[in-house]
Amino acid sequence: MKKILVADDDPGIVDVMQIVLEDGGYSVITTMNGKNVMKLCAQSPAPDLIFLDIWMSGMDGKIICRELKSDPATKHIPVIIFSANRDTREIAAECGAEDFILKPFEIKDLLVMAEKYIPK
Amino acid sequence: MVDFCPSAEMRLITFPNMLKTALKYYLSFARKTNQYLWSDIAIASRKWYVKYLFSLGIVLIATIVKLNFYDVIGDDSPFILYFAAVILATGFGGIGPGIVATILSGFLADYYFLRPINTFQITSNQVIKFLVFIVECFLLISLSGAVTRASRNLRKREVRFRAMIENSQDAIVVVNRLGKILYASPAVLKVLGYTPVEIRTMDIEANFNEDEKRKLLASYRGLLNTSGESLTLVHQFLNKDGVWVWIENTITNLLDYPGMNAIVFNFRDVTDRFLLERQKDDFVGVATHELKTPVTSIKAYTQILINRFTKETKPEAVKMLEKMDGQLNKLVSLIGDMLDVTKIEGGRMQFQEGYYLFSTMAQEVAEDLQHTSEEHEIEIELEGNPEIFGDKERVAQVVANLISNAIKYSPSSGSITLKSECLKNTVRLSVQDQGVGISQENQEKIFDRFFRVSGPENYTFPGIGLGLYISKEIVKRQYGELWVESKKGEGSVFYMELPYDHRMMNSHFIHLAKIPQAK
Repeated sequence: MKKILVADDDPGIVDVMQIVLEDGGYSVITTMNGKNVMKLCAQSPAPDLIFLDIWMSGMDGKIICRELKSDPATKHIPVIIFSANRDTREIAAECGAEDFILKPFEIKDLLVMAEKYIPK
Repeated sequence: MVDFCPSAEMRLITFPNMLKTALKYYLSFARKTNQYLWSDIAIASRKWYVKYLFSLGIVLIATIVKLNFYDVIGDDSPFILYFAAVILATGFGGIGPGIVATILSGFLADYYFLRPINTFQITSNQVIKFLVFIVECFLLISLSGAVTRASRNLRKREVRFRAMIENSQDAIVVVNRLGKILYASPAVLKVLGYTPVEIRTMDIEANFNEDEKRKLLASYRGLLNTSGESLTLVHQFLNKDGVWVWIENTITNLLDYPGMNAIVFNFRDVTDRFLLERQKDDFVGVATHELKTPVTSIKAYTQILINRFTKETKPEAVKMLEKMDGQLNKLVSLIGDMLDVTKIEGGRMQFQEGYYLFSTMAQEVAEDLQHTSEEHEIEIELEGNPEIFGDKERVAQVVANLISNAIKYSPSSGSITLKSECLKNTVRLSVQDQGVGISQENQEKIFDRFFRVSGPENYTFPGIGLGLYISKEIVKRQYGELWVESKKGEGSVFYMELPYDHRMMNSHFIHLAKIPQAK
């Protein structure tokens, strides 16, 4: 089963994404602390896809994304930035993320996005 | 003298040159006289006894001169030279010494030069001569008093206006038609950090923000063609310390104003105010962003439930949850509107520009919105598929706003027409409905922020009155126009006109000039 990491500081979002993605047939790990993202990616097996919020308490999502993309061990993992910010597209491009999704999203769009990067 | 060549000195001797020289000396004498004699400040600065002594002295001198030249002057004109004495005494000391000189001159002229001389007797035909002298002297004195008063008032007024301008906290800069700075008030030092002299001599173009320059220049050039008009711009300026300050600049075109013939810039530092406003905008920005987070999860939960109840075939629950989802979409768009307004107000609405196909975009929007209403049919008549340079998503937002307004305000009639036309420099899109229409008086106001039509029918239509304001601002920032033609009760047509490529500023101006006729 493909593994997805969801990183967002809002419990409501984390919970709902877990339900949607698990319903969609993925295994989901979550964190609400930006500092855990790198640790979770170092685990084995590493996640196949990361949904990353920009405004994370404790740590800026952009910095996390750059860190992921500069580390040879994690740079192959697709990162999808998701935020309520209208500038999300620019931010995603700027920090090297593969794609972005705007909040609030339709759950089918979320599944389409996951399917796009990790075809089952 | 064959090789005679008139030198400059030689030429002086000719009659016209003599006249010219005489005139020159006379004018400089008159100027000095004016400066030393009639100037109220000079008069006021003299001690009173000096003025009266001068008056006595000048009359005595006149008498001595007259007595010495008695053979030449004779006693036919007894008051000759005394006029000069009275004029000088008045000019030097003002009205009081002038009167003293008049009385003294009268007595002396009577004693020495009216027959019989060396007496104070006056024969009857000389009384008239004497009285005329006195009256003329008084006229001279009052005239000189009037001149003094007028020049004093003029100077006072000038001093007052100068003080007002020089002490104004607003900086004032006067520029001629060619852009040369004619005057800069001392306050420019406070606002820009440069002294008035520095401002006049430096090349200030480098102190403007590159991004703003084009827009500022366009507005400025527009103003140059509209005499008597003024406009206010808020822009940045690099001050002497190398800090960008925010300037609120009111520019007035006084090129045709007699005696002025210049452009007047009136500006002040609004950096503090600007930063405070930005703080407020940031707050609203963060607040709306935070509002979106819970809405996102509620919306997702709702959709999860819809999926589960669909699987369990509970149509009633599914229907209610779908309505809930629709309401959440409304909430999301309201939050989005608030965020947009904040960005517009802060001048920070971002545009992501590129080429896009206009009709494809309009078609997609119309098809999306067709799903939201079963009672309305959107008829689409789009001409061609022109390529436009601009922000596709923002323009799509405007089209969506126009179509959803058409749906909202035509509750009983089903047909909405979306049409486009390719013009020379622009593409024109129209959205027509057969709905409630807008009265003449409200047609301008509907584009104002927070404006909603008041009256019995407004209860029927929800909304916070931001949609058209945002649309107008977006279109304006895409260098286009948005307007409406409508009749109450007969529906409305909203027009949006956008340049194919707004980077061609000239086409933009041609386009703006065309609009009033188009209406």
